[in-house]
Amino acid sequence: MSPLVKKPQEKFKLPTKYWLMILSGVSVILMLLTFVFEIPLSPLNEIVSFTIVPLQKGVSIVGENLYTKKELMKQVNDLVNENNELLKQVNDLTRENNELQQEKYELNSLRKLLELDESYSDYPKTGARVISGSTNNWFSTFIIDKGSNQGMKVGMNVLAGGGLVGRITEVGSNWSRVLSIIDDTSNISCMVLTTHDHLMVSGNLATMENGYITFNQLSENAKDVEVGDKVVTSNISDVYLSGIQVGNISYMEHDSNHLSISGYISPSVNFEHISEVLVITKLKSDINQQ
Amino acid sequence: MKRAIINIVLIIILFILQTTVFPMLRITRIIPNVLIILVSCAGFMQGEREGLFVGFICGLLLDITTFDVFGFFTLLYMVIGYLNGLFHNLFYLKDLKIPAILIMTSDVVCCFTTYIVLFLLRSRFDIIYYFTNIILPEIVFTLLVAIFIYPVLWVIEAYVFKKKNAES
Repeated sequence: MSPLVKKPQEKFKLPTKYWLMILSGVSVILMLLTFVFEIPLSPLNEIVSFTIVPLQKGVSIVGENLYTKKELMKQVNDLVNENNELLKQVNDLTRENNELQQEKYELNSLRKLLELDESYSDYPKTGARVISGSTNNWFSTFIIDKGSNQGMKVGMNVLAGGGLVGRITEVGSNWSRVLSIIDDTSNISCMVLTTHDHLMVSGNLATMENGYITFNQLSENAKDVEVGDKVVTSNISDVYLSGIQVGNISYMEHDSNHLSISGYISPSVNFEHISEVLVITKLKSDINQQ
Repeated sequence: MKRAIINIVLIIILFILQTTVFPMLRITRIIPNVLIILVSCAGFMQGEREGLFVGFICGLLLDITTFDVFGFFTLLYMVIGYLNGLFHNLFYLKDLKIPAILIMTSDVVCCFTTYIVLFLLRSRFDIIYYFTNIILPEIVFTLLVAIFIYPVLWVIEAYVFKKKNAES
């Protein structure tokens, strides 16, 4: 063979070292964009929308059905006993309800007089199914099966069983990510229901093992606050609607600076078994503008 | 091409396993880090190039579905995949010590980096608590799950790609 004949050229491949550098650069730029400038990267969210989310929906529906069937078998006996007890309770509650109805009527008329209509039962809500748990052990986030197509927006409040679960922090076309109040990075401005003293409620990974989240910055002057008091979201929070139940104070302690009190709160939602949640489709900022 | 498709299918399956199946089973409060097994294996079985790309995609998915600072997991998983790829020459299909050590080291690196960047910098100093309650159980659980996942990856590598040193 003549030495002049060229070898067929190999297909050009960029060496892995350069790929590493390029992609590292891309990630650092993405980090800067989202962390420093807080630019949302919604086009990237769509990758998850059509690859992972449909599969997660399928798996979670199958899993939930299996789980509920297993639980059903176990609980039939318990239910019969419980039913008898509950029937007794119904009688009591009906009577109580009548009284409350009367009081509510009175309350509504008084509220109208004051032009205050802020009870959160009046906010428009929509149900959603939890399709994915947290991706690792450091966060308490989960994914629900409704997104911007169904009108979800970043900042909407999420409830379950009457208590606050968290808020939406990221939205794709058919999914949203919820940051729960027990997440280590979550901070909420709250108040004690009875005395209207303000405090900060923070999620904590370490205390959540025993089922508690922490609070701090309760003023030392708040003498009437006691263990067992209800804590609700405050009216000065700019993300959370006011008056949503968060939990009960279960432990209080005076800080060493003698200015504030901190302690533990047991959340009113059981975060172990959340499968369906309610999303309030009204943002705090919209309500403030009105 | 075949390799790329198989890798993407594996990433999706294991991602669903980690986010949906394990949290639902609720064996413990801790969930294993299944994706790090795949990233690590892709690195030392297929080479640094594949490790890099598998790590990049896994990290990207985690970033989208986990938290607000975008790019942290992408960078972390990509570097872990690449570094595992540097051990590609030491890897023989019949050897079990190196895979075990590499998967464990990858998970340790992953856990400690997450702790330092996302917790220590927010003044959560109780490292012993986080080590005994979160990092250690996660590593043990991950290694247990790796016992079941590694053979699957091994079979794919040995028979689908007809790895030459399968019998050596």
